Parts: sequence; C-alpha cells; structure tokens
Amino acid sequence: MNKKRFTQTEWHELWRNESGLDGTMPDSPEETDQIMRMLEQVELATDETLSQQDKDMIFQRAWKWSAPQEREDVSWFAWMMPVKLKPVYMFVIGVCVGVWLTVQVQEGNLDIAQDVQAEDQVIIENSLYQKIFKGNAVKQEFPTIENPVIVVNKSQDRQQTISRAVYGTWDNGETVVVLNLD
Amino acid sequence: MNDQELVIAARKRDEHAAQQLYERYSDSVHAICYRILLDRAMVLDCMQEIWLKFFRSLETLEVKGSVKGWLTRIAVNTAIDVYRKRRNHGVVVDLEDGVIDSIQPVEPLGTSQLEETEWKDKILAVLHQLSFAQRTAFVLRYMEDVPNSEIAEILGCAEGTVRSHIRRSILTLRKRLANDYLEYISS
Repeated sequence: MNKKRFTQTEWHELWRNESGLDGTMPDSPEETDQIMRMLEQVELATDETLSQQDKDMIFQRAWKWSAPQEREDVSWFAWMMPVKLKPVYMFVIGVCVGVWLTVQVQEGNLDIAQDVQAEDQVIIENSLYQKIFKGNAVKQEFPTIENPVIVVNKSQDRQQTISRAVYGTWDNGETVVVLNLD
Repeated sequence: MNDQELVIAARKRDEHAAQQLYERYSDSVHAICYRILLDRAMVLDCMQEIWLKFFRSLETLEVKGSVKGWLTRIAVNTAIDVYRKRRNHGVVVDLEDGVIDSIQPVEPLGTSQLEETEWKDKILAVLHQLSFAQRTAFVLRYMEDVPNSEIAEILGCAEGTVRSHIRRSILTLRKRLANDYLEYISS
C-alpha cells in the first residue's frame, strides 16, 4: 500500500483552491485528521490482492505473448512475396527506369521542348524550324504576348538546352517566339 | 538487482529478471486498477493487458527512468481503455455529478456496531457512486501521489478539473461515510 498522505498543508491547499465551498472545509485540525483517517480506511478497503494462481497465469501469458515473433523458415515462394521484397523491387525498377531514361536522352528521343506542350505540326518547310509549340512555359517568359506561335529552333546535333529566346512578327502578322536549342 | 539491472536483463528475454520485476510491482499495479475499476473481472483483463504492454515496451523504456512511474502510467491508461470499452458495451454505468447528489446516503446499519466487512462494503458502495473521472483522480492523487498536472494529462482535462474531481470525491466520501466511520472506530 502506498504511504503517501496529504499533509495538513496540502489538505488545506486543496480546499483553499476550491472557492465557493463554504462549510465544506474541515473546521479544525482534529476534523481534518479524522477525515484523513477515514480516507485511509477507504484505501484499506480497496486493498485487494490477486490470488497466486491468477498472478502466475498473468505473468506467464504476458511474458509469452510479448516475445518477438520467431523468424520462420520461409520457402522460396514466400520469400518472393512482394511485401518482403518491396525494397528490392523498388531498387530494380529504379535502375531500369534510370537506364531507359539515359538511353532515350542520348538518342535524342526526349525533347525538352515537349515540356511546353508540343503540338507536332510542321508549318515551316525549314529544316531548322521543325515544330510549333504553344506552351505555358513560354507564356511565362513573354507575358505580354497573347497567343504566340512558338517556334523551336532545333539544331542538328539535337542538344536540348534552351539558350536563347526571341520574338517577333511574321509577315502575316502572327507573333512568333523562337527558342534556340543549342 | 535494482530495477534498471532487471530491465536490461529482461530486454534480453531473461524470464527470471522479468518475473522479479513482476513480483515487485504486480500488487501495486493491481491496486491501482482495482481502485479505479472496482470490478474483479475487468481488473484481470486489465492486468493481462498492462503487463503485456510493459514487457513489449521494455526496448523503449528509459533505463534511468522510474519503472513504477512507467507502470503506473500504463496501468491507468489501460484501465481507462478497459472501462470505456465496457461502458460502450453497456456493462458499466457512470453516474453524473447531479445523480450522485440525488442518491440517498446508505442507511446506517441496524446493529450498533459496524462489522469490518460491512464497513468495507459501505466504502465500496460509496466509491461506486463517484464518477469514473472523480474516482481515478482521487486514487491517483491521494493513493499514488501522482501530481495534478499528470492526472490532467492522463484524463485529458484541465488541472482545475482534476482538483475539482478530487475535492468532490472527498466531499462525497465524507458526506456518506463520516458518521459510519465514527461508529466503526468506536466499535
């Protein structure tokens, strides 16, 4: 049983903290002492103990159930289950995607200008001007131009960096943005 | 071996060390649960759950910390969970403060002298009349010496509310038991 008891000071502190309880505070140290003894009786009355059999049973179960799960001798099939191999799968997939992207970039199949939403229309019979783009990225660069026709000036060696962007007007009045890809 | 050494050994699945910890604290943990729940069946479930949680938490337990404090916290939280679970299944009835006030005090016994078992039953009857929060706050503060701030955290209420719970508990106990206590001690 715990031996902590309210001291007289704590007891009065408890009462003092609760204003508006006129008449409930013990009138005298004797009365306080009497109440404290009564509360000790409450503690004694609730001082139940478990039978030794119950105690043993609770310990044995709790100890057994708290043991970490033993690693099972899993079959090859179980080892291949996706959940267990998730990190491996993720790594292999990552490597494959990386290799594919590298090959595509080296072969020039990935055109950075597609980021500005390419419309694959060839409108100018000039080997240097191959595609027209209408895209948000360029609109951000030239916010004052409404609905520009965007021409990508693509060099022969198919490098993908935008080095320069200029704009002007065609003879027919269309505003044109020319992106030079080095 | 002290608590810290036992915890370190129990982490390595030393059953003897775990059993020593269990023997050292199972009675006090049981007392907390019983005083809060006042139901033997619920207490058994609760004890099982508490010790399972404790053994599973050994890895994360701060060795320098107080094992008793850690166990008390697990015990109270588990008792609250068990109580709420049972209440949701309609087994436990929690009395509101107003209802408590309307309950008539237990009638004094006809005999001139109050027997010990009758006195104990009377105390338990009054404890049942307290709300769960009142009883928990009272038990933790008065019998387990848990600070009000921690009780507030456990019960999820303000410290002022905890003080109010304790005060109302003591008032109820005093109101219902004072006369019988005088009779009991005179017997």
